[in-house]
Amino acid sequence: MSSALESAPSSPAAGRPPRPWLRLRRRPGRRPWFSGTVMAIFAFCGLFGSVVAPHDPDKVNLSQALKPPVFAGGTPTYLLGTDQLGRDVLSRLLTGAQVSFLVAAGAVLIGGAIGLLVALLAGYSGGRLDAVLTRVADASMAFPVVLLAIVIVAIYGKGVTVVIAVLVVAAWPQYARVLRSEVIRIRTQEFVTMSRVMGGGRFWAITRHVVPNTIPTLLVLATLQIGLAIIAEGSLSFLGIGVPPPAASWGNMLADGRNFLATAWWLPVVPGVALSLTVLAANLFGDWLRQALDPATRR
Amino acid sequence: MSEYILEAVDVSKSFHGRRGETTQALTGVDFGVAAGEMVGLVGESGSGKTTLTRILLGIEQPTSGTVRFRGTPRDRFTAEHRRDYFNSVSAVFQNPYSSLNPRRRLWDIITERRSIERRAPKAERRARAIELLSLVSLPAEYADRFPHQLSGGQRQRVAIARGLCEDPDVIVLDEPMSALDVSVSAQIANLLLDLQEKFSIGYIFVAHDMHMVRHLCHRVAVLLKGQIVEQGAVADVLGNPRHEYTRRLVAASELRSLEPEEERVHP
Repeated sequence: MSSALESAPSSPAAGRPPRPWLRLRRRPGRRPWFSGTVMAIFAFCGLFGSVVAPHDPDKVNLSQALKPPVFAGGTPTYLLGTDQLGRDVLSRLLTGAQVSFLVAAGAVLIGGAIGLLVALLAGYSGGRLDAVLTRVADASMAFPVVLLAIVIVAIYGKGVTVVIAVLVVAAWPQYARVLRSEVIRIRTQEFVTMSRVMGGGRFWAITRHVVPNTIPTLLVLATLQIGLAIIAEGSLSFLGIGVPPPAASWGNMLADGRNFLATAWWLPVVPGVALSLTVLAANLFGDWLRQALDPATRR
Repeated sequence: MSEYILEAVDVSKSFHGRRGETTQALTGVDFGVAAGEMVGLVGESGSGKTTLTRILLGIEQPTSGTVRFRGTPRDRFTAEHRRDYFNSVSAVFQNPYSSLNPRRRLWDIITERRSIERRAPKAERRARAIELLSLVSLPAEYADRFPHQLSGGQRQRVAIARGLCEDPDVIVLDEPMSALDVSVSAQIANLLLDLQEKFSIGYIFVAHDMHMVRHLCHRVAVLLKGQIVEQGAVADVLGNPRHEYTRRLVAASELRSLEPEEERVHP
């Protein structure tokens, strides 16, 4: 037997079977190092990206165009290289993070708030209002996001606010549907009935019992939606109906960079990696958060 | 007649289904509970036991008839009556796993009534919760725990402690032992009897188990299809049933005690 196995905390001597190679269930109480760090960096760049950016992200300098990143033979002046117009990729990535962060935060907060409100209305009123709200949610989910974006952009023009609005319209039914069934499940629990027996009104039941018990679900949904919102902003900007250039956004950078995949790979790869890492981290973080907030696993 | 603290007078209740059909859940029910007595409410599933208790607790409105509390009909309650009613009428429900909000600590759950009234500071509520925990034989340090850290029997004790918070005169017990195993339900039954002795609380005890009713209750009412077919002292009703349905209920409960599984439980 190897010493590594003997020193493992879950050796058979401890009375538990040896750990399978693929551990699907994560140990409770484990800290989310990876996802937490990435989310913290993302939040920091989202808030202060333009402050810490080493160069002006929009400054064109054709003499410095298409410099590779420092680890691929470039100069330390441009750590992640430059694009075809000589703009610093790192600075654009950092300011682009602000756009992604703003879009994700806006879409998640507003969409989640609307979704929760609709879920409470529908789940608590029942009857006709419930039926109408559920149909509206279903109908808006059936409507393609990109088409909606094109329509809104055609009417109001491009901009970050429009992107957020599109994503809110796309996201609120997802919250509303899941949370509505949560609301219905919770409000029929005996502790809600008991609060009525004790003279608590509807407002009391909702604020003290129903909403707190939807929080874990809401948070998991929200973190998943952070990932989706970042991707959606990227997609819309990629299609040219998102954040208007020359402002940097990860989607813009991907769209501009795709023509240079063969000659200057870092142009699409850098924003692509940033986007994937952030989305992955958001999903992992949501997973951890759900466990951490569940009182049944809290110590 | 009005020695009842809480009573239903000629209460009927019908529910309207989705396709316009009407279900008559209760028809002309007269039922009440006096101080310090335990009234059993028996009948098969769907006989209207739960509907009757929900009407008495004010969760459901009767289609006709009234609920009186200390002689005053519910629809003539003043704010003062309402506060008295909510303090004096309490309940313990069937399922201790869904009757405690999983996100609240026990002291907060037990004294919820006080925070609805918005009059008690946290320290006072905690002190009251600890007092109530000792009354139901749970240690004081449970005050800061969450419901999931407790067993079913302990949770039911917490639910009882919550029911006792404002020194009620009436507690509706909706099958409080049905989710518990035999030895634990015996403990809960003893606890309920002790509390009754101490505070002379009137209990409405909704039950399936005729043995429990026979041992615990003073009076019993038998519900069948929304009507009370027989009501009176336990010894009379269950010892000498007049109505065919009561006879069948009693016979069924006696039959059950002869089953071999039961013998193994009580050797």
